[in-house]
Formats: sequence, C-alpha cells, structure tokens
Amino acid sequence: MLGDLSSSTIEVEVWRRAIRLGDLGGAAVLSVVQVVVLAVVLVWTSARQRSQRSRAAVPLVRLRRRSAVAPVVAVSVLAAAPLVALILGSFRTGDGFSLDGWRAFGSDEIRPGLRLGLDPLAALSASLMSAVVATVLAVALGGLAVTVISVTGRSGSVLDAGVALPLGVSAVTVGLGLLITFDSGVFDWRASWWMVPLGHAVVAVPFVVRPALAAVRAVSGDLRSAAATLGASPVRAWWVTVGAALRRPLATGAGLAAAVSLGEFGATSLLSRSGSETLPVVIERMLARTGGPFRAQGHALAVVLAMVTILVVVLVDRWRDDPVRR
Amino acid sequence: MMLVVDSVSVSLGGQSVLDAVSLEVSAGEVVAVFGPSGSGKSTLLRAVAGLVEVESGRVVIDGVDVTGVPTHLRRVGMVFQDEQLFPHRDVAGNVAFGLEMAGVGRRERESRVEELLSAVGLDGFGDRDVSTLSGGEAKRVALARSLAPKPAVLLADEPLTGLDADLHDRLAVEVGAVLRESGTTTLWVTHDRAEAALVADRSVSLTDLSGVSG
Repeated sequence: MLGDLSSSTIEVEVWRRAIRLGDLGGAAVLSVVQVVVLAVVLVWTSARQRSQRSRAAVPLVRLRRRSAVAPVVAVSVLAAAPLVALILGSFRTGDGFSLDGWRAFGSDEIRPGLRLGLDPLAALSASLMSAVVATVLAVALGGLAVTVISVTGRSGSVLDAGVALPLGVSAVTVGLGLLITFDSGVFDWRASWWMVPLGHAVVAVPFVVRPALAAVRAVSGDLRSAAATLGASPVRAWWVTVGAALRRPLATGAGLAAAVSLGEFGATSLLSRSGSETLPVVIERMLARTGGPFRAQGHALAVVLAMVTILVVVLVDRWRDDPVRR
Repeated sequence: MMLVVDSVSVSLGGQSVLDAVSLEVSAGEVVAVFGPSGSGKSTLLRAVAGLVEVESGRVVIDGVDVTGVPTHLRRVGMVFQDEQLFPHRDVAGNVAFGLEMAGVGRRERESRVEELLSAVGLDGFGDRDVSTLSGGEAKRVALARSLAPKPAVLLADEPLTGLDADLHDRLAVEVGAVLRESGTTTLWVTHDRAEAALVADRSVSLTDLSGVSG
C-alpha cells in the first residue's frame, strides 16, 4: 500500500472526518502539523548554513557535524516521505499508474460538459497572490509590534503574548473571528479579496515576531551607547543597532509567513469565496470527490504546491543572507 | 582644561554611586583612575558621556558645560570593556561609523580609516568580519573606532580587561603610545594599578576624588 492515503493525504482525511463529525477544531491540528514541519525544515536549513559559515573552529565543528548526521537524516526522511507519497499518488489512477492526473492538471471537467466549478490554475495564482499580500502584511504588523516593544523598552509581555495567540488558537478560529468581526454595516468586508491574506497574516504574525523579538532582546544597551558616543542620535543609534539586528529575523519571518500562507487551510476554508479559492482548498475539494482522476489530479496539485513552497523558502533563505553585510 | 568634572554625584536605583567627585584633565593628558570593581569607575565615565543622569555637579568639556547635553552631541569617544563593535558592519565599517555620523565625505573617510587601522597595527583588516577577530584585535578596532572622529575626550572603560597577561602589557604600552601620538585627552579607568602606570601620564585613586573640590 505504498503511497496510499494513510501517508500522503492524511491531513485532508482527518479534516474531512472532522467536518463530518462536526468537529471543526480538528482542522487546526492539520495546520499546526504543517507549520511545525515547515518550521523544522527552516530551522534545519538555517542551522546547516550556520555550521557551514563557522569554519574557524575546525575540530569542534567536525564533532558537531558528525553527531548531527543522524537527526539530519531523520528530519530529511520525515520531510521527504510525504512528498514522495504525493508524487506517487499523483500517478495513481484507479488500479494502475498513469499520467491522467497531470494531463488534467488545469481542468475541472468531471466528464465532457460537466464541471466541478474549480479552476486549479487560478487557484495557484490566488495562492501566490495571497502569499505575497499576507507576507507583506505579516512583516509590516510584526515589524511594527517588535519596533514598539523595543522602542518603548517595556517588557512587552502582554503584546508578546498577544501576537503569539494565533499560535495557540486554531486557524479555523482565527478565520471565524475575522468573519464575525467584519460582518456588519460599513465593516461588512466578508467578500473582500483581502480577507484570505489577512487571515493568513494573522496566523503568520507570531512567526515574524518571535525570532525578531529574540534578536531585539539580544542587542545590549551598551551597543546603543557605543553608537551614541560616536555621534548617533537616539533614532540613528536604534536603527544601526536594533534595526540592523532585525533585518535577518524579519527576512526569516517573511519566508515563514509566505510558507504558512501557501499551506494555510483552516482559516482559508472559512474565508475564501467561491471562484477565488486558494490551492489547498481546491486540493481538498478534488480529493473529496470520489473517483480516480480527481484524486490523482489533487495529488498533482499538492506536489506543485509543495514545490512552490519549498522554492519560496529556499529563495528567501538565500536572499536574506545577501543584504545583511553592511 | 579639556575636561572638568565638578563635584558630580550620581545615584543609581536610590543608591549613591558617586559622591561629589571632582577631576580635571588637561588637553592631551592621559589620566587613569583606578579603584576596585563596583567602586563607580564605570559610572564616572558614563556620567561624563551623558549615559547616566547626573544628580548634582557639572561636566565641562573644552570650556562648555555639557551636563544637560545628550551623549551624541558631547564629542566624547568611549571604549567599552567588551568592545561593543557593530556586528553587522565589517572592521572598516565600524571604524568609519563615527565619521559617517559627523558627515565626513567618503574619500576622506576611507583614508582616515586606513590611517587609524595602521595606527593600531591592523593594516589590511578593513574588510574583515568583526566576529572573526581575536580578543586583542577587537580591542584595537574598538580603539580605532573611538579615535576616528577625533573626540575631545576619550573615555576608556577597562578596555584591556580579558586579555592574557603578555598581550595585556604589550597592548597597554602600544595604546599609551597611540593616545600620546594623537594627542588625545583621555580618561582611563581600571582596577589594575600597574596598567594605570603603564598607560597614563598620571593616575589617581577614585576614592581620593570624592568629596574634595577642585
């Protein structure tokens, strides 16, 4: 049963069951699992980069590298297994293997003349668009929060907990909250295109704030004093010390936010409107249909989504290393 | 007098740290103040730099009362015990920082950075990442960075602490020479009497400065 539903589409399976049993909270678990896997992958890639960069301490690094092999392999297998299963699933139709899932990639015909009412290609571009807007929003909101915390110099624990809340609350709850918030009078924005990216941004904000806040708190007061004694005004001193320390974690946060947005399902399933579904929603709809071709096609779309997400993470990881020097 | 500390008192968290401390340093002079750790040496420097609030008394630099002037306008340079180099800038970027703040043009900046790196014995270190520097190298960079904008007064807060004995003594002599050569008015604090004697023209105990006027 290699590559069967049990491994490849477990989240969709669990979600459907949750919906059928009326337990909406189940959807949250899936997003969290997804996000955790992404976080692990990101931490791993950045840790690998760091170990490559610090070549000075040769014997120490060698020791560390050797002992790191086992966990790295384990994480790689864990990260790669669902992807392999997805790829296999995309070629599986009915009893055998075929290219039907990929051939039907952009279409939604059940049979000639009868359509499912979904546009996979539009969903892909909707996903990318949401990711861009959500990333900008999350970095702007998160950056603002961190700046306020660091400038006021207050402990900021309330704000800290506040922005971290979406981590604990299920994504579906976030989506529900947004729907309830924007449903009356002039604030009836439920049909607005930016509801989905806004939901994604709320879910992603903790991923921006957490690393940034840690970086800000690592900047010593004396570093700012050093800048001041060299003639930097308080604002300049803040910018060259805390501001400089923020660039890298904010870039990391942006990558995470984009990845979260691309894979986000819980809030999206409530917020997205028919005709502007994101890719995860379309994938779920396809897999919810019985019948071989849609299942294979859903897998194919999931492969593409995974690839796009990996590409985004890799690109951001590359890019964030460039502009920090000087 | 380049620097006059006139019966300055400082309290931190309700506790008196400096009690009517007075001190004068003439132009180009290197004065070391020694005292045990926790005696308020750092606080004295921070009071001169404007990094802590002065409860009473005056700080006068080059004839100007700067007691109420913010740090960045006081024309002081400070070398910290743990260097406090900017981690996101390379060596040249660190040394050039004060010059950038002073609005010095790029060409002049570059030649001044080169000149200073040469003065502290770090020719060709300009594009090094500061995280790759040894302890002694980092301290040299910190010194070059503080000297670059030609401060009216250089404040040195145990800048040679944490080096092994051999390097410490060598650097103390070297730094003393750099300060004299550049004619920098310096207030140097340390817990180490021998270091004070090596670096400074004159050394005084912090306890002798308290409560006596002039």
